This record gives sequence, structure tokens and C-alpha cells, in this order.
Amino acid sequence: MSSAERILAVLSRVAQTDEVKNHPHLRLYELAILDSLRTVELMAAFSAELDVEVSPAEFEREDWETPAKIVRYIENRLGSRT
Amino acid sequence: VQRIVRGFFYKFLMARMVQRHWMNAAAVGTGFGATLSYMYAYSFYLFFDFAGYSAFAIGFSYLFGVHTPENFDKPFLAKNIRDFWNRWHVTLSAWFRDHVYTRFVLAAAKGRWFSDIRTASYLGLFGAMGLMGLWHGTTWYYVVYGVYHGALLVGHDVFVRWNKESRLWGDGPVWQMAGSFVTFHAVAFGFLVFSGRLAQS
Repeated sequence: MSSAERILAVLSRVAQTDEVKNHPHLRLYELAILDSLRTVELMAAFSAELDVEVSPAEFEREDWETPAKIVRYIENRLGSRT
Repeated sequence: VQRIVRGFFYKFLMARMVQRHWMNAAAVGTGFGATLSYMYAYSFYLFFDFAGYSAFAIGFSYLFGVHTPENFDKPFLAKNIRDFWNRWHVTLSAWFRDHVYTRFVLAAAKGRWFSDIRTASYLGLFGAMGLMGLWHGTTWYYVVYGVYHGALLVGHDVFVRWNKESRLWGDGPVWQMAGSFVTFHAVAFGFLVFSGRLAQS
């Protein structure tokens, strides 16, 4: 599985919809697919499954407003490690 | 510049008018009717005064090339209490969301403090809103105000989840108007608590 697929798998499980895999520009917060609690669940899942720690202090909703942006954000974090 | 004009209009005209011609009269009255009138007046006064002040600050900061984030987005048209907090004093609410709620729930999720993450979420909401109340001052009714909003947010979440099964609350425009109506009154009652008027009687 590519890193993008792994990220989207986590997202679709937390968001409880497969839509996020098919629509990379879905407005997650505007459509209430993500909210404060799901955001935290995502942070916890990325930490546990991909070993990427996102700190609430650095987090901005604009960075995570679509599936494509989340993939880019997490991939950047994965990439900067190696 | 448009924001500065709006800020001027809100703060020096609307807020002053509400205060002089409505709120001050209601403030000296007694009984349920006067308290109700004061509640509406105080809510509008607070909005115009504070949103006006914010628009002013944003407008002037733009003149100096600083992009200050928006602080109010038609809060009294919010369709539920959660929507309200994304529209009222946005910069402060977002700070409490990111630094109190998110931090607490994330720590709870990683440390598995609770069997259900929702327990952590509800405690987080009470904690964030309680602190938000305390942020305004240590007077007891500010704290009650914060806890009251924590309860509203938790109550709203419980209701939404329950409604998924029972489908009592619909989606149409009439329901949305009803939602805005209920939200506005819940919020206005919160401001009445915040004003301290209830503490004097």
C-alpha cells in the first residue's frame, strides 16, 4: 500500500465514509464529515498507525480541509523523517 | 475600509442606540418581562459592541498590512450551538478548541483514559467552556456561563446522536429556522447569566 492509500484508509475509517477516498477535494469541515472530535481521533490514529505526531498547537483546520490536503500534510511529515 | 465603516456603524450607532433606548430602560425594570427584554437588549448590545470593535481592529490592521482573522460571522443566525461557537468570538473559541479541548482529548485517546472516547470529548467540552468562562473573570456567574455552554454543547451532541435513530428533528427550512430560534434563545439566556443581572435579584 502506498502512503497515500494508508493515509486515506485511516481517514475513511475515522470519518466513517468511503467518500473521502473517491473525492479528494471534499470539504471535510464544511460538510461536517470532520469535527473537533474526529480531528482528535485522526491525530491519535496517525500517531498510532503511521507514527506521525501532529501537535494541536501547530494544527490549522485549513491544512486538513480536504482529503488531498491531509494526504499532502501527512506525506510531508513522513517524508521529512528520512 | 469597509470594515472600519461597519465597525463604526455597529459600535457607535447600533450598540449605543440599543444601550440608550432599550437596555438602560429594561435594566431598571423588575419582573419577568423586564428581565426578558433586558436579555434581548443585552444580547444585541454585546454583539454590536464587540463585533463592531472587532471589525474596527481588523479594518485598521489591514491598513497596516496585517491580516487579522475574522472574529464574528453572523452568530445569531447559527443553526445550532456548535455552529454558534464557530461564528462568535471565533479567535477565542478556536484557541480553546485547539489548546484545551484537542489537547485533553488527544491525551485521553493516546493514554486510553476512558473506554469511550466520547466521555473524553464531553469532559473536554466542559473543561474548555468552563475555562472560557473563567477567562472572562473569576466571578461565579462567568463560571456558570461557561459550564452552561459546556452543557449546551454536550446536550446538542447527545440530541443529534439520538435523533439519528428517532428522526424527530427534520432537515427542511422550517426546521433550520426553528434551530436558529432555539439556538439564539439558548445563547441569549447564556448572556443573561453572563450579565450578572440574575445575581442581583
